[in-house]
Amino acid sequence: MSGVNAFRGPWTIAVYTWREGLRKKTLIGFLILSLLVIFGSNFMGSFLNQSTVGSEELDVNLKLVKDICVSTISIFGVLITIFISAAAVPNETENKVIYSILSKPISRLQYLLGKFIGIQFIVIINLALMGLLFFMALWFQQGTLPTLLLWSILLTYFEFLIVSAFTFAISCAATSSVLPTIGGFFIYLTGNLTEYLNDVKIRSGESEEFLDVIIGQTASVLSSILPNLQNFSLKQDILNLQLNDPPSDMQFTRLLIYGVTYAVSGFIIAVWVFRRREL
Amino acid sequence: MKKMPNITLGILLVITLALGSFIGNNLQHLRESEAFYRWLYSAGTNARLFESTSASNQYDDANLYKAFGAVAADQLQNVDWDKVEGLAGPDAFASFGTTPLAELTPEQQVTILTDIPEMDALLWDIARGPGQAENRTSFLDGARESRLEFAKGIKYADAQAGGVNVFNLFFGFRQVAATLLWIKVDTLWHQGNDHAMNPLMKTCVVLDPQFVDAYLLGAWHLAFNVTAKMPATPQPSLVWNEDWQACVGEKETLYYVAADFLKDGIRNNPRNYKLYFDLGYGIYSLKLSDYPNAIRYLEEAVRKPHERWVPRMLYNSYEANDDYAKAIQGWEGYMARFPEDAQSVIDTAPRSIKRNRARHYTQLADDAYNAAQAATDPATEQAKSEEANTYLAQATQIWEEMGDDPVALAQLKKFEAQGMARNGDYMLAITKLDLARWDYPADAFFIEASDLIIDYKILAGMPLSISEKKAQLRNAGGEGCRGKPEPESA
Repeated sequence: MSGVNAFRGPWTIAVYTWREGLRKKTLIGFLILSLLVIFGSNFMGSFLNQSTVGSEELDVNLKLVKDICVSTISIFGVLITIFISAAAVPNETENKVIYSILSKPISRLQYLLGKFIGIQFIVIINLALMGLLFFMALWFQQGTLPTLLLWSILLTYFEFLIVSAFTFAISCAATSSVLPTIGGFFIYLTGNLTEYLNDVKIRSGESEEFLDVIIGQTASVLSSILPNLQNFSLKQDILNLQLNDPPSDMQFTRLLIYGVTYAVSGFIIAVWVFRRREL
Repeated sequence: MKKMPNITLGILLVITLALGSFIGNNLQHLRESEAFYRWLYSAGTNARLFESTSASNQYDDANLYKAFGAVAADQLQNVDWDKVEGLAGPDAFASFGTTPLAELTPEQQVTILTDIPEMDALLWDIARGPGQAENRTSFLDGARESRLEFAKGIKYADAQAGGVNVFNLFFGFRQVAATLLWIKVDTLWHQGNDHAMNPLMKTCVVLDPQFVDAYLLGAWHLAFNVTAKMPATPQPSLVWNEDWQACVGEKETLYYVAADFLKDGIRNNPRNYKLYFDLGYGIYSLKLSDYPNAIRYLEEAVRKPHERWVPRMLYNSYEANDDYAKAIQGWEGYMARFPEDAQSVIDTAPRSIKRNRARHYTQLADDAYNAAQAATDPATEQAKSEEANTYLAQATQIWEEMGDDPVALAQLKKFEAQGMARNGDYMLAITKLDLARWDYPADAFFIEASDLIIDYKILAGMPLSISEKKAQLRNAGGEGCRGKPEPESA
């Protein structure tokens, strides 16, 4: 029974966070904008006058839809993820709601878990809406059910999960949502540029100067520890599968575990930060 | 919350980060292996199809490819080579001679495997296996230092080069950048700005090497549209090109640039039949009339998953290359494979088979007639002449059976003219051919009839027109051009 109670609190907070998130005008704005772009991608083909080579039909229009939709989902999806993850806790601190929640018989861990789950609900709902429209656009264009898109969307979610968890961790230390929002963008950018660290590591070995060696070793450690969001580039590749592509299922399962593992890391940092806050 | 002290959280954090790092390394290994595997296909396809045209001394691809083969030798011993031969078909390995596949060098065996889709899983296992760790490292070093020609365009390999390269510049959105750039290419085309298109098309495929339509459209623009209104370069002004091993003018240069563009596409997308088809049929057959190469790439196209019209174009190329037996065999096989393809089975295929049979008999008749001419004893001459007449009668019968088919009617007129010429009635023969070439103005027949007219005029001692003199000079000059090396004497 206590187990059920332990989850009732977080669940209530998650549902409340989700409802509150759906009322945010910024997020609805992003969502509408992304849906418009995905819908509009179907008409991008009208800019192309050339759709055949001789009598041979080309798939440029289909490629246009795929590329634009995947990028739109990535860009707007990550914006929604960062904004909602950055604002969930600081907003409640600002409007003092957090004090009345934490005065209830609910632990800080339960509160954070509820908030984090609520954020994930919002991200999933937004992603599902964008994905549904993309799915229909592809179905309309290619005439067959684009099942690979579902896997692509799933991978996109796990990429966002990492960004969301670390942004959430920053937000737990912040009193306003500005800093975590900037932090979220920074996480997304650095996560995509982690491969630069390998370059730094290799180039630092070119001289034997002390500072160079230190920089190289730091880059080496960071490149091992930091999440590499470029690993998720498979989300775009599987939509344009070529006949001689290596099997993607091996990467796929690892990517899901990778996403969950770093999300847990981010959440642990959030818990560690939040438990030290004086509220 | 107090029940969970810092140390517990710290341990949990270290564990999750360590697990993340472990999976991250695993993923990095898979991505490195994938890039290596893609390079392997690119290098293998190059070795199989374009080795003679690749001037890649400055690159290390060949050494790394050899090293891959050497390490993979043990695993290749377990391959069922009879099965491989069965999967690819008997003509697939003609370039390796008659040596049994199991006795080829490991490097050659890898080259063969890159052509067989059923062997992809094996090559993937070898490429990511521990045995190839050293070669994978060499591959990444080579990609980083831009020493590998065929690593260019592989996303992960590009990313290793560091600095501000196209991979990083577009921050993972290379494909959408390529697509948007393509819209600009399309606009330029419709503005008639042909010369601005070429660099943009190449940028498109650098950004997205799997953008097959960009290769197809780009090559088509270069070979067909840009050259459409260009005047042909006269034979004396053609210049020898060492890379293409051909005499080229302005038009021909663009044809070969288009061919190279498609070859890049094939290296990056070795399983896409459309690229082979456009290279073989669009460029080599239609534009360069290089039928042996057209057949080579069309045979590659039909070994990949393809549309039905691809083999039909292959059989037409066999016919253009005077390989009538293969064309007939191909069309008969096609009818058996696709009995539901009414248009082809009822109309195209039977007509093509008849046409090829008639041409085959004509070819045999010509051979027999030449043998009769060359014969020194009257008995052989008589026998060969009779043989020639028999073949000619068979060919005539087939052409007659074909009714109002313009090719058949043109050939019958040609036979009549040839008969007249044999009887010494050159004037009549020339008149007949002159009428026929305008009545049935197919390119091939027009040239054939015009050449015969020139021959008969010379035999009859009649003066040639200016255009005929030009044609005669052109034919006499053969394939010569400025800068072409003289053939080495034996």
